[in-house]
Amino acid sequence: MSDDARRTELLDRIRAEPSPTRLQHRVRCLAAAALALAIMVAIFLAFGGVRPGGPPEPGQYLVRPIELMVATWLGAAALSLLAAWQLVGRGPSMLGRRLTWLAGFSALVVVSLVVWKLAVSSEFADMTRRWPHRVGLKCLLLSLALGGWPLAALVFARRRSDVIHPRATGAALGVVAGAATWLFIDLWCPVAYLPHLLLGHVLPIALFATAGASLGRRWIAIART
Amino acid sequence: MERYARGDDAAFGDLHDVMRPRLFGFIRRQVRDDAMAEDLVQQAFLQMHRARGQFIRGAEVVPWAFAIARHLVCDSMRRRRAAAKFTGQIESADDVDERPSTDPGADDLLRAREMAVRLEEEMSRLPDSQRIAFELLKHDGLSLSQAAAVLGITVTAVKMRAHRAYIALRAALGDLEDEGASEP
Repeated sequence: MSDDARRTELLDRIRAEPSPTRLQHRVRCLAAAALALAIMVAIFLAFGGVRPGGPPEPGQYLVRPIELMVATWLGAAALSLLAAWQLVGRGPSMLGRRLTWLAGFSALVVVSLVVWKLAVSSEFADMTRRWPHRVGLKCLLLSLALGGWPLAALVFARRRSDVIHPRATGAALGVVAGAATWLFIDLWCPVAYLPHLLLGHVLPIALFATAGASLGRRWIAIART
Repeated sequence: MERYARGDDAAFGDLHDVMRPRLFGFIRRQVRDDAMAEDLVQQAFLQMHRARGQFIRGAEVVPWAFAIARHLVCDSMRRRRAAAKFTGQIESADDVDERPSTDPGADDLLRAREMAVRLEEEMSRLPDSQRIAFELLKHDGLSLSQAAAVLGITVTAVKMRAHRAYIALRAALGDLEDEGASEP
């Protein structure tokens, strides 16, 4: 087959299998993100929405000050946006960010979320106390119910785009989905006790990272037809 | 690619014309099979076409295209090895025509040809990591940073791999160099 014939064959194949332009791709990604957010809000409201306080023990009731809620949420939102910018964006190269950067930044985001929550809460009396009946399983359940949607939207946005390390990219997207979930959980859960945070708030992020790595290999890696 | 990402369908033909010879050369050296190389070049362009909407404004196309090609080569070699293991056949990687030239006056050509064959043999003995780094720099003309991006490693690691390949080749081909130097 001559070079011209191969060229024609390729161009015919491409015409038969159209791919979205940059603008079309962005519109689809925004639609996927909006859908994921709407589902997250619906699930969050179904679980009771914002909850400023709760009973640490039977007969007691503890309410978080509004300043504490605003401060922890704004810090978490800033960290989530930073994570999205660095871990979803690929920087100036089509080959994405370096593996060490993805891994290091993901770990830094998770640690920062926990440290911020504990540091701000410790400034308020009784806010880091242990809640014997809240080990973190409800938060884990709600996180799992919420986080799958942003992860799916992010994988959709980055599908078939990573040539070098799709698993690491998938794991990083999992961390971003987990950070987005943290924002909802932060409004829902008044507990800032470290073991609770690790089980109910951090473990879901680790699970989303693992799921993202698995999805990355299948959906984010380029695939031969 | 930037034009193509913005929606100019005709731009893909231009991209193909510019990139195809380089990609084909790179892939052909890895797989040593023209038909397979052609197939993989087509695959690489299809991948670039599919990523049209995700192309980053101002991003370099060359390292990306080579990284796709490298990924496809690794994938096809893996499949080929698996198929060979399954059928119990061992493919001969050496498809170089080693018949000497019959032209009695072509001594220089013959020596050059022998050297090319030896070079190819010695290159095939290098570890893949060193060989590919060396080829990206010396054959394909990529810069150190572009080769590093294609391989997903640091510039220092590329330098080290290419340098090791160079040292190994020089040691292996030293006798040819000596022969050439001793001739009048």
